[in-house]
Amino acid sequence: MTTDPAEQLQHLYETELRPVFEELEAERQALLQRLLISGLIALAATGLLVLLVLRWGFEISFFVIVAGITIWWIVNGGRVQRYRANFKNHVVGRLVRFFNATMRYEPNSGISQAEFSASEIFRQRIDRYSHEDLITGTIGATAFRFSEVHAEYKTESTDSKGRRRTTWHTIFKGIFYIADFNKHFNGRTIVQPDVAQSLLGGLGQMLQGVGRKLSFSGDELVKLEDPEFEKLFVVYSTDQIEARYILSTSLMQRLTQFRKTMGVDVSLSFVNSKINLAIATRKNLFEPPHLWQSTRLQLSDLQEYLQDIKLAEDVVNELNLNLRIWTKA
Amino acid sequence: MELIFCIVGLAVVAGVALLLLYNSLIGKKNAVDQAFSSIDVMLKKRYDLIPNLIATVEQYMTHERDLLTELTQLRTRALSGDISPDARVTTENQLSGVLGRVMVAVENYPDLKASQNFLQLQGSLNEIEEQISAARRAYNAAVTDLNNAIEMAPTNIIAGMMNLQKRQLFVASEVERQNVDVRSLFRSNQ
Repeated sequence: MTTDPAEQLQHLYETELRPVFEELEAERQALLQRLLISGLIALAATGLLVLLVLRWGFEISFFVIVAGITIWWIVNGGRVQRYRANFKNHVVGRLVRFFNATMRYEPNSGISQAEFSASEIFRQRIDRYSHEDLITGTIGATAFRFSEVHAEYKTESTDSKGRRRTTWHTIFKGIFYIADFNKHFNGRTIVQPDVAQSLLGGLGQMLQGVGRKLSFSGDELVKLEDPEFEKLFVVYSTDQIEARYILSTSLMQRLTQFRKTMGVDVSLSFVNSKINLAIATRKNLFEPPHLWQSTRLQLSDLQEYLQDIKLAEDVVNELNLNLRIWTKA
Repeated sequence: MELIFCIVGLAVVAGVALLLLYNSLIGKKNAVDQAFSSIDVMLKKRYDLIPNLIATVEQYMTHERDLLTELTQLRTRALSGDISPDARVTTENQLSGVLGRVMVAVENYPDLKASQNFLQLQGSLNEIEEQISAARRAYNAAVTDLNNAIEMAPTNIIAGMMNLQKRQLFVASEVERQNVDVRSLFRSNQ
């Protein structure tokens, strides 16, 4: 057995995943055929029905078209889901174990709403919450879990005709990552992307302090000495000293670097001796190639999935969470 | 009549503004004092660890008796009540220096380095050092906040009337800066 990761991946591909890919490809082809044939039948049937009912009015034929599409999806939706589940279980699950034998992948689990709320990064009321693609494991001394998360709240408005309209707003969509932190602490420290200060400078910082005092959360604005970090983030904490104990000068640098590599908004909180990261990626992780995409799965695709799995390790290493020189084991 | 209302209104507004500014200055001054006393708390925690450290290392470190004696003396001096603030700071810095040297000297005793007792103690010491550094940074932030208020308009006027003085920032002392040069410490041990 070779120790070169690229060769190991090649080996895994040749011995285990190639047959799986072929099966998945066969499943995809069959599914496509089914979708096309049933689609044509549905189209013909709906067309005929529309012609028959058209004389009773346009609204009824509209109803028939909607019914046709719905029935077509009811017949086929399950199959599409199964194809997706097969891909996730057999390919992504295997890749996660390949990456690190201690890691586990559960496509239908995720960071629970309770955990999400307990992080206190987002304080809005949550009306709809969904999660998928949970990865758990331990790297060195650090236990972690992360998944995709989508939290939303709704607003309801009534227009002039008295119709109620519900609008959904995203609170957070992306990867939510929870890891054991390497220092003990009792309070709560929250690090958020800084909007006010990057736009308004010192005035923005003043407004943040006033705003926090008015929100009665018991948190104070923490002004830190790293100018680059301060430009990217704003920090609130229940304890000025503890916030600095957690956000050591080196962790501030590491977070700045991490934020720059990720290229998207990153919010963090430190609660109950845990670090929570909310990374607002737009990408939907670990999805099979699109059904209509004709190219077959290849070794290079695996590299991309592995890149996403590697985030598990990146957070622990880049934030140096395995440095255990303090009293916490 | 209207003029009187205007004047009274202005006076009330000015009074409230004055009160707010005054309170914010007092708040900042107290934040500095509080931050300073928390450094003190952390430093006291460090004194508490020193007897444990000496008890653990002394049976191994036969060649560094002087170093350990110095550590004990410094601790006693720092803990004695009748010490001036300036002398306290000097003692504190010397203590940091000697502690650093003890930790480097431990490298020469593999048995000691591997002992569970020592590892635990080292963890506690690292923890305390990290806490002290956090407390100092918090103090510096509070002082900067107060100094800014004392120098910037409009609080500078009230600060002048209150006779508030600018405070000094914590800077790494000469001893601490020298400590960073670990190689020279190794050389002195040879």
